[in-house]
Amino acid sequence: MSRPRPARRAGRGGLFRKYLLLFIGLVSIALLVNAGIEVAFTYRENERMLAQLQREKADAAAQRIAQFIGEIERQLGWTTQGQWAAGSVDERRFDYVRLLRQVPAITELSQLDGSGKERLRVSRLAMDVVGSGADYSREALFTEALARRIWFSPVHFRNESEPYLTIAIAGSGRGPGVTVAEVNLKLIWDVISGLKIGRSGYAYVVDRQGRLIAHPDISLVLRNTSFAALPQVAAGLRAQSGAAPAADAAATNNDGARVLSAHSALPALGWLVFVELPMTEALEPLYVSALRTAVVLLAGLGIAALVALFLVRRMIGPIRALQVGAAQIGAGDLDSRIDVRTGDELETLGDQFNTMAAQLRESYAGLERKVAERTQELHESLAYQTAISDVLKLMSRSTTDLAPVLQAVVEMAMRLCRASQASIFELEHGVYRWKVGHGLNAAYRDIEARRQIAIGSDTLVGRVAETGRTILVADALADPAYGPKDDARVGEVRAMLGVPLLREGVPVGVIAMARTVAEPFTGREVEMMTVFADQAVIAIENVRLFREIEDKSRQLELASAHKSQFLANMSHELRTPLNAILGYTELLVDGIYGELETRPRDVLERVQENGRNLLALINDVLDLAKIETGLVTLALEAYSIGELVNAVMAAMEPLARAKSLALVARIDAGAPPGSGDARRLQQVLVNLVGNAIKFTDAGEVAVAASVAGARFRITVRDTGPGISPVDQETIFEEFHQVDNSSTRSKGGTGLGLAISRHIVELHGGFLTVESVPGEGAMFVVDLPQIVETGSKEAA
Amino acid sequence: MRRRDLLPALASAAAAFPFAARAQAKPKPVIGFLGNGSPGTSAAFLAAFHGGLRAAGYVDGTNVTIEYRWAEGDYARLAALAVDLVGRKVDVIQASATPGIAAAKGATATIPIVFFGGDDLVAAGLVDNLARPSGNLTGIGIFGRELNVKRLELLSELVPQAAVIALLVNPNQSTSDFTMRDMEDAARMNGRRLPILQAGSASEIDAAFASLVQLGAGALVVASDPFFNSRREQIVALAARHAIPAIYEWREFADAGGLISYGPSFTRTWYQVGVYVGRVLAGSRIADLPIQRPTAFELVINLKAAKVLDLPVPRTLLARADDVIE
Repeated sequence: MSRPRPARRAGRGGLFRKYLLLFIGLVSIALLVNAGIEVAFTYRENERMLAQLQREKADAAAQRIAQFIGEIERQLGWTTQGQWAAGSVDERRFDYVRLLRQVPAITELSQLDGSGKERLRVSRLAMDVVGSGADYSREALFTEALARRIWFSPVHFRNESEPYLTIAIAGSGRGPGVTVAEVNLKLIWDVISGLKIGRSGYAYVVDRQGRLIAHPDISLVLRNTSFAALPQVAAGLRAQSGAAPAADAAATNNDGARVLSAHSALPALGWLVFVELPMTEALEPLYVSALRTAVVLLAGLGIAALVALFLVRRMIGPIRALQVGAAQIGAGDLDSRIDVRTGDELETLGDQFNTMAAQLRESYAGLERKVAERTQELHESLAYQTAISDVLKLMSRSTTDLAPVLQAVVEMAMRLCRASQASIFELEHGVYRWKVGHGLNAAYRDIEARRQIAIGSDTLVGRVAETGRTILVADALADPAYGPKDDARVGEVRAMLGVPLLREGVPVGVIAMARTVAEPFTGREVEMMTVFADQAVIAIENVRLFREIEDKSRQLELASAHKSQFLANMSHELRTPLNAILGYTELLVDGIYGELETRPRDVLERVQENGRNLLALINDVLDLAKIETGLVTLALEAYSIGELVNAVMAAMEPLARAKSLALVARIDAGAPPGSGDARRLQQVLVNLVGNAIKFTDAGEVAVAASVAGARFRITVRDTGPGISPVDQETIFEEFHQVDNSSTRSKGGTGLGLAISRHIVELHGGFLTVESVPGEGAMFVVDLPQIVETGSKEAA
Repeated sequence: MRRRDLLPALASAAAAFPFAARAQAKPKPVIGFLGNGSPGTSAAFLAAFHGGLRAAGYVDGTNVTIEYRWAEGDYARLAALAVDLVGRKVDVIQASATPGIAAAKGATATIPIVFFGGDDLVAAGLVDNLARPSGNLTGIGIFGRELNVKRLELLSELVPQAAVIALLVNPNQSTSDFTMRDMEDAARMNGRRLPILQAGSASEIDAAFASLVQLGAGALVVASDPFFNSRREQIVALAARHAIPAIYEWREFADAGGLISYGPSFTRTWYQVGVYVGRVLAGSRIADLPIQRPTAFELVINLKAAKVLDLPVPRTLLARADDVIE
């Protein structure tokens, strides 16, 4: 149960931000899509509506212009009646002047008679002319007018700048005249500029060549501008000639600005009326609408953000509370409760957390109880183990004294079983006697110490001895079979427990425990004591065995000492008469008591020789005995290893020569002086070289002395028969020789190598052998260069 | 409108702002006004001129400065005044009538000149094409010379008994020769005699009127001339004093007591001149500003004056009159 780490806490705001963004994002998308659709629809509707509107305006404009021309035509109409034409000049002129007065666009009026001659001309600019007789009979204005009643000339420009239209109307009746009117089209400007096309829209009129007839910017007209190149005009002209249907759409005007263009035709004149509205203005409502949509969108987003903030706060609040509560529970504060009152799944979750915490708390309590129990058990177990361990420790320390061990056993047993007293009884010659006790009062102790308990059911110990099992007595005073109730009262004994001490299944004693109250011992205490008793038995038995071994070894040492003493004494006692025998034999052989015959002399010489052998044997035995009894001490002195070896070589040389053996020595030149018992070491070398010569029949005996660190190493190598591995160990034992026919014939006491090894070991060195049978043997003496005084005592 | 059109539209709308700001930061343009007459008698047409300027977006003293130079009726001074304006590096010169236009044109071939009332400019060699002037000259014509003939006709109708109709011309006007020739032809066609009175100053006008009786003139045509216009009050008063029926160019004469007038609208024409000057200031090229001429002509008859003269007004004239002053 670890505390939540701070790192995890960094992501705390994540949910809030995530939900907030999600919410705002969803609302934004919805609003944006809505706005987009609205704008798209508005745009399309607007476009359609605008096109419709423009077309209507174009139609209206065309109608206005048709009206303008129609009005002129109507005004001219009545001057064409035959009756009128026959009137006086003044009348006609008067009417013409009135006509000019009524129709400002007409600059000039002419009356042609039936033969095409001009009869009257009235002008605003020039002087009126009566009866000029100018002939127009071949002109289109006359012939066409007669043919179609009315004729419109193409637009022509006076002074190359003023657009004029000639209208000729034929009169009715026989031989009708024709009235010709020069119409200044600049006056259509009034019509055109009077048209209201949006705020900055405008209308214009072109003739069938695409030349401008009327335009709000009159200078364009006066400049005789052609709009034929403008796509919308070209399309309109094509449509008029029936080539293709005209499409009203976005176009570019003369100034290069984008406009929404629509047009309408004036078929009688072949003119086209265009209505154009700058795109910027046409689309203004759309911009406004888009702006409004944007504002609504922004407001919507703002409100959505606020609502999202509020909702997410509402949603995240309980989640935070849950998080904090869960963290507290997680941190171990199981008493903390999460208070979420939202009435939804979150509240359920909070309640579940609370339930979980409560359950956790309960299981903790159970766990703690169990831990306490287990700890108690462990504690008991530990106490028990400690008790055993204490007993064992005590045993190992006092191997010879049983009393403290038993004392410890009763103390421990008492403590382990919470008994008021504990005692150990031991079986001795058929009865149980009190050995040790603890917690007994003085009176009861005396009673117990004097008592001899027999096997039987009237006492606790008796019952245990009888059954060989653990016995429980709930209350000694209440047990009818229990005999010594008075003693029990003295000892304040009520509840009792007896455990047998079994050795190989046979009771040898009893541990008895008692309490001052009738509180029975538990099964666990009984079980524990049974095991404890087994341990105690082992402890007691170990002490007993140890004591026995100690006794035996002391007896053995004593016997060995007696043997050595005996041998020493014996040797001494044997040597004295033998010396006498040898002395007298020598005297006899030397002829002190007269010359002897050869035979007795030979016998005496044999006696002398065997006597000497016997003396050597006795000396060796004595020597060995002295060494073994520790009577030999080393006489330490400085010696030279070279001199030591050379002395031995000199002494042994005759023996080698007698067997024709080479005797060689190699000594390290720079060997330092050593310290040791030179005589004894010489004895060892003599023994080794002597053995080598003795067992070698041909070849050589080589002695080498060398220095290795602070030690001397002396080897004696021969070319004899060698020693088998089995024999290599035994040859150093007393009275031992390699047992075969050849050795038996060589003689010897078999004590030499044992003595030699003892001497070398007294010096703190080693004597070893290396040999392969058939290839000779090599004995190695390894010695410390300097032997400290008393460093080695006889073992 | 497709979406890709929306962006450029917005961009251009945004771009329009700095340009507008820069245009305002420019020093105020200057109009050089070359007046033939004097400021005192020019108030009416100056108001119309300013009105036209205002319609084109320019207000005197606010975003445009007007430098006035007045010849006080002395056409000889025009050339020097024009040179003075050119020396001041004005942005546009306004000049009136053939003498003024000629003076301005003589002073500069580069500074745009917007004229009022220039007639026969092609004949005078000042303009090559009315629709697309190729030089630095454009403006609004007034049919001054042509209408003199029409005035003679109208006057003949009003005073049919007058066998002698005098013509008052300004000899300083460069087109006066053409005018005299036209009028003589017309008079001959009408069967009238046409003595010509020449007056280039106030005293000469007095002298001309004084000679009318001696000439036996029954009526008078006052030819189109800015100087005469500036001497309006004097001429009308003299006509009344001498009880001679006279026809004038502008309705302002009839308003001032003159008998009859026929011609385009003086104020409307000046208004158009103002618009043209404004357009030149705004950057229009001269070639894009065709020389315009009026389409409407006013016939104004002052019946009071007719009554004073005991002159019956014929029905045809009344029918033709656009305005009758009673």
